[in-house]
Amino acid sequence: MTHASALRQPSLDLLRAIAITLMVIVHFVENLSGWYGTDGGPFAASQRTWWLPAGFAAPIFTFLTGTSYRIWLRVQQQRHRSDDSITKATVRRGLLLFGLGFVFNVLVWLPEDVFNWDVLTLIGTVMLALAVLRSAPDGVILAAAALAVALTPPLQSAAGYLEYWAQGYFDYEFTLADVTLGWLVVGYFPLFPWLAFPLVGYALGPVVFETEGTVPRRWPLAIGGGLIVAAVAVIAAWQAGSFLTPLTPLSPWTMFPPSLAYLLGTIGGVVVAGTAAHATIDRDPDRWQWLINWATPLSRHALSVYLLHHIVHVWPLWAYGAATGADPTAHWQIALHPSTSLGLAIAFMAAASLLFHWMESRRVASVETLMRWLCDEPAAPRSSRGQSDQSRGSKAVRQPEDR
Amino acid sequence: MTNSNRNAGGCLVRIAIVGGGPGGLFTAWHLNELCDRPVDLTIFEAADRLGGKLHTPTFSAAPVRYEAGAAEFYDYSPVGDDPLLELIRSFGLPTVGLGGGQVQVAGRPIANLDDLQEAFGPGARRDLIDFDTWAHGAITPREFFESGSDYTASATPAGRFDGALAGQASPTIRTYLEAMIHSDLATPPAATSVAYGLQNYLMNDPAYMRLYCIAGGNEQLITALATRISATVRLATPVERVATTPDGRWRLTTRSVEGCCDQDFDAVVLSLPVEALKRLTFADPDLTAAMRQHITHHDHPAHYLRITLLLDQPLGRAAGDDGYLMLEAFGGCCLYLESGREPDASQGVLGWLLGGEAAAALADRTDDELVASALDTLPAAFAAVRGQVLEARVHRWTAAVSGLPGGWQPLSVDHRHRPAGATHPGLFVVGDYLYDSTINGVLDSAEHVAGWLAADLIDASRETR
Amino acid sequence: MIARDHDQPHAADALGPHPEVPGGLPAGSMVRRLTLPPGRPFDLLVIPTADPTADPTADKAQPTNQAALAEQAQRWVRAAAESVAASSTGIAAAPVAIPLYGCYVIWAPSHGAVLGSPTRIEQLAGTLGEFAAREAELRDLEGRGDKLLATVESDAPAAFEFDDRTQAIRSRLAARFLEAVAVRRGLASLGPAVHVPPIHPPTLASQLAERLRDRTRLAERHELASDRADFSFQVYEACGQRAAEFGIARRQLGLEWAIVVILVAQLTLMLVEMLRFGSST
Repeated sequence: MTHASALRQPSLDLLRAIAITLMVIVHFVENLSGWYGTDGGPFAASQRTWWLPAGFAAPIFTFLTGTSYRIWLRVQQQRHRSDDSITKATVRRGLLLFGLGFVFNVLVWLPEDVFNWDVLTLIGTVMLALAVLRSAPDGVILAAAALAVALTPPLQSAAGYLEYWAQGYFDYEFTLADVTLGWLVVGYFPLFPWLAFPLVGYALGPVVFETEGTVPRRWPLAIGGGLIVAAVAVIAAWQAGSFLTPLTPLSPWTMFPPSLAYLLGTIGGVVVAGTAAHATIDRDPDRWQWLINWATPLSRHALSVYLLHHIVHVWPLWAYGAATGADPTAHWQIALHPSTSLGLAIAFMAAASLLFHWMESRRVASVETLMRWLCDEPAAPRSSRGQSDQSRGSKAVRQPEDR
Repeated sequence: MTNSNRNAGGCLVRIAIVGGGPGGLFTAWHLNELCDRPVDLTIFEAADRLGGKLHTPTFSAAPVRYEAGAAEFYDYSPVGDDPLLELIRSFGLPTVGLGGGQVQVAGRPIANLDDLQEAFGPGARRDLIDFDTWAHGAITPREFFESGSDYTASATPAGRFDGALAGQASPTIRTYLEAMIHSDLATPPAATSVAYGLQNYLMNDPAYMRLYCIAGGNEQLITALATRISATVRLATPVERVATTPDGRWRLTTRSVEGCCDQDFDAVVLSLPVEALKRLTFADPDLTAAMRQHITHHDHPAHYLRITLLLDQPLGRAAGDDGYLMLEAFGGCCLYLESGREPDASQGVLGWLLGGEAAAALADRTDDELVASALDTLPAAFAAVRGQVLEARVHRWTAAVSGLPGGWQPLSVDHRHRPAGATHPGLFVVGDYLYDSTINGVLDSAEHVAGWLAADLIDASRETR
Repeated sequence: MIARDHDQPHAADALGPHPEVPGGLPAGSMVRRLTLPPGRPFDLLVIPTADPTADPTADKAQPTNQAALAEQAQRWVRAAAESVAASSTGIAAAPVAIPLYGCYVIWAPSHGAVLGSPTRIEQLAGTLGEFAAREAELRDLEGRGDKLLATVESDAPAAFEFDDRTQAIRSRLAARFLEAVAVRRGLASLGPAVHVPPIHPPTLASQLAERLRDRTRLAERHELASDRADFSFQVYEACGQRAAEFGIARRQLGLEWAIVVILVAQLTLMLVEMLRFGSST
């Protein structure tokens, strides 16, 4: 990953678009039809094997968050930005996403779910963590990710995870303890273990998506494959009656709570998928141009899609609930047949693809544009040596006053 | 030359330097450098030019220079400090290395061991190597460098050089060695010491010493000195008498076209060859005795004769890269190939340097006879030279150098420079004959005397305060 | 060394005569092909001239027609050398010609010629061959030193500061450091052959060797090349020191971060237990 334009690999955009698509489908189906029908709906069937791909949306997305940050970091360093300005931009992005997460929760999931610790607050927290951790060697970051995964089961046990999920969703008291525990361990996307995904994406991104072939392809495959094998081993141990998944007696592969097998399997799966995508898509992008053309606008507007798809399918749900005189959340997860929800999801994706493709072609501002405007430092004029760090120049002006 | 400056409110020390050769000029230069106050220097020179044995005249037939006196300087820098080389370079004078050493023996050119072996057999090669090993053991490069100083070479055998040659060299090698060093020795081996003889052999070894000359003529050193010293120079003004005054000063009687003249000085430096010292009259009996003793100790005259030819074309490939070669003729003489000193010259210059008894014996012959004799000694490689002579010059240096510098038993450095130090401390002597009969030696001598005088002046000024 | 030893015979040349001998040369003339470091050929034209044993009184300084032979040899060497275009490091483009007591020696970096009596010719050829090898070795070291010097300026920042970006070129810096060491070693081992003092009494071989060294300024070139190699070595040595310091700092940093991560994990465990204990009571 060296040149700025070459750093945005098509495989990254494709994987992110796939994650977004999966997310939209999962959310549409689960929010509109999660418990629909006598057999408990797809949600109840989340333990079913055919629903397994649904569990990969968040792992792919959070993994690629770390990888994208790594790319962004390299671009800033190539533009000779100072460490100060990079840290400031990272912290601003983190705080914006963190705050946006709360706002989103209030506006979409209603005020009582403000501290449900969804994916936006997770990514915001991750950005703040990476502002500090980016100074650490990759080995330490991977160790931190491994520690996050390894500590998750005992933390979940210590925190009493299942008590917060008795209703089938995250339910908490407005106390400091519950709010903090939700952020750390028991929420929808708590730090433990979800911090591991972006950290692995940050550390292994150069290995998986390296353009200059200095790292053999065998490494990422070996790592991903190894993790998948580990996941299978954990499942086998569970089936043999081991203590490895104490929280979920029904299934070793659960997303809520994220079981050890789930964590290992999804991390390994994302690494393998990334390697495979890089080996096929990036090696011959012209052959896959139609797919890349579909994926790239969606990938570039991931945040917009996230916000928009919730608004599109959740707000009508609340409006219908309110209109029928009951609690606005009365029809949550039982409103529609799963096939209808699925169709709506597909329709939304089609519309979103068109919309964001059009926005890209017309350079229409989006939420991402706003975020860059708010958070990133403007590019300084280039010197004769290509150094363009405005903060360095302004520091030089301030020096006499500082004395 | 600048006129002497009178120090405001004080007496100006007056020093006379008798002799305008390299010794006198070196003494004046060092006095200018070392004295802590202005000194009134006067140089008396009997001839109508400065320079003594450093003389680079020009032919009449063409504006080509040649060396009439000392043809080369000795570079001691491989072993130690070389003040003469440093002085020459400080004047910005370019130097040219001088290589050579081919010796004509029995009509054959011997340039190296292979030539020697080819001419006289493997035994001769071994003999020369053995002699060389003995010579190197007798005098180390450091001892060679320090020769002439108070440093004594304990390993150097005493005695005459002819005895050493008889003991250490086979007859064949002896002939070769005598031809090689005769022109430098300027005296028969029987008339010089082992040390001096060996020095003249070892000077051919680059580990001990190298040869060089000043590009454009060695006399440029004299010119450079003359333009830099602050002194009054009286040419064609020989000093006839040296006396003391009642107040302890020195009175010199000089003769010039203007007549006789007496002048008083605070100190006198006699920078003259031994033969010229003999012609001086000393008024004081003690001084006369001391000087007679000094002269007797150092009276070992050696003679040189220079024959130089201007040719109508350069010497060509026959000369090769060498600057000189040694001939057997005249008991051993040096043939200088001076064309190589000025590579762009359109004429050639060949010069013979005869030394020792041959030079003294031939000095009475006419120039034409000498030139004819010289041409007869030319090696076959230079046979074409006969028809190329445009002009010839002869210079006779009878008793101009010492064949045994320092005498059979060198005196201490101080004693040799102030022969009457106990009774007449203001009289000093400078000369190459006190050291090694070289320009390097006379520089050392001059530096010693100038340093001594300057120290005396400093001490005197402290006392008057 | 040939130039030092009075009595030993000279080293043998590389074998293999070159087939193309110029026409009009005396019988016995040949072209020998030597191999110089680092594998370059050197063609030596050997021309025996008048045999002095036939007339012992003949002056070796001017054997018959030697001047014409010398001219022809010089033309051959010049033409051959120009075609190879071997001159590149400040040596005079024209071949170096040395008349030497009845012999004649011509040298150019890729070709040479010796003229002399049959009893002398082998000494001359051997000495010239040895000199050519030394000169070629020095020329090669000069070239390698020049290449290093060309990269020193761009690599010099790494001698002051080593960071993540410089890490990417670490292997390149290491290779250049080893090359600087190799060049220095080569110059050091060549030193005694270049700075050999003149011997006395001289032999023909020692006289020729001395003249060849003087005319090609071998000692000055060696000194200059050594100075440049020393400079490059110092820069790359400093780069190596910075790289080592950086590696140590990185490992220390890694350890510090590992401690931080472990502490955070421990604090998290403690915090979760405290919060859980607090909420349950």
